[in-house]
Amino acid sequence: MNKLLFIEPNYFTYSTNLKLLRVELTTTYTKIDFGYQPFDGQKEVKKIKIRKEAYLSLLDEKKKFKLVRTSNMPIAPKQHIFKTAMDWLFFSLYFEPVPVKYCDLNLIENEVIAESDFNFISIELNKKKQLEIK
Amino acid sequence: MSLNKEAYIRYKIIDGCIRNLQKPYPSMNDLIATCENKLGKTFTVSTIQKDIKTMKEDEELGFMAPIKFSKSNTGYYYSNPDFSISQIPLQENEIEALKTASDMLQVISGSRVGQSFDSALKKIMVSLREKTDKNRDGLPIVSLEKAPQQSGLEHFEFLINVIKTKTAISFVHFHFLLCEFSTDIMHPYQLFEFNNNWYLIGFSENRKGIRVCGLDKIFDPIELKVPFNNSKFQEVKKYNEDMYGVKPIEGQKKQKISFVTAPDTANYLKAQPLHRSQKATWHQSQGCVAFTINVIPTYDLIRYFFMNSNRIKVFNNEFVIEKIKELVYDILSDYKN
Repeated sequence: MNKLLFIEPNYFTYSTNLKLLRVELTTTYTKIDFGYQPFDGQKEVKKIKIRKEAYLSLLDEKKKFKLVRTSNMPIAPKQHIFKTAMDWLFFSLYFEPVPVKYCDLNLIENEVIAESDFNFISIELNKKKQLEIK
Repeated sequence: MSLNKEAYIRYKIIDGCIRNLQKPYPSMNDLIATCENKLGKTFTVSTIQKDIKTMKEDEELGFMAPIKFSKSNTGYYYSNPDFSISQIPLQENEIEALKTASDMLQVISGSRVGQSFDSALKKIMVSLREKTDKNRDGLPIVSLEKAPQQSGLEHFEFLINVIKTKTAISFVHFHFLLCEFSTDIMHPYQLFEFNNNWYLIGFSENRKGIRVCGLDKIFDPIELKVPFNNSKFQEVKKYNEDMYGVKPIEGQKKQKISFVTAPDTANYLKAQPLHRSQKATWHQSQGCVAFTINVIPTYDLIRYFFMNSNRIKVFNNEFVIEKIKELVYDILSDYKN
């Protein structure tokens, strides 16, 4: 099984606008798909970007898997500025490949956790929810 | 995959990136990343640079793409924003070949092939004439309706392929009304067009039944290795034959809907029936005509009646009448406030 897909895994985050949709594990990269969506009653027009220092780590392991590229998401200092409070965006982040196995991942952009950062803790890659990619 | 075929796919990917309104001015890195992502292998800057040069300059290929680099936006763009490599006019020799082939097809279309093929052939011929026959002022003799290109059409070829190979897909979906992302696994059965928009219909694992999705709401479809679910395939016929529009109103069955039209509208509907089941049931001496159709009610049908409510009046179907009234009340309450 070279490529695995995990759909809408469980995770924890402080982010109110970001929804982690899918995790793709391959031997050449790990891809995480996100949707930025406005929350009910949102009035603030936001901006979004990711720092190049963002990384993935496995629970209880020190090794960091670096961000290598993005799709539809600028890397800081560039940023995506939404035009209205109701705008939305689908984008993907590509990291160095984590081992293709069942585990919990952390996505860390900033060690000091803030709502605006990409910090997703305990992204659960559960065997029951895995799908093999053709 | 042969090199030529792969290069052609790269041209299409580059074209798609440059035309992507959601992320204009793609950089070289964006182009490389998208090609790598879609084709699952790595590409160098020089490969993509050569591709761009070929798209711009190769006369044999014939794209002559007006690709420019914007220094202020640090990315590529088309100097003609309407350009796309999928809208390249046919070359002389290709037109001749197609004309010869279509002549041969016309000979047999009347007797040996069905009506749908005949209709497809007519479309090709009209399209060909539109591209080739121009009068002295440079205006085409015939002009087809050109809707602005729907987003999501970049997946069209991929979706045709997964339908052919009966391959399930995972995709991300954005619900325009709820402003919400979700995912689904779809076993795709068919692509269909309604009012210049394309839709995918198939078995949805989330809904455990048929689902219809506009291609503009589908993101990043991925092929899966799971057994294909063909169990609802026969239901697609219902969508093709028993409806006007895209999605049936839940719980509704095929039913008779009667409506009376003003004389001018009657003429339009006689020339272009609303549905294949349409029948004229009554003719008034001043020209008003009553029609019936036998369909499953859809929101598209309700909207059609609502938008034409000064020319068309539905009768004999309380459900449809109530749905039209709901739209009228919604609008009235909006204007009261």
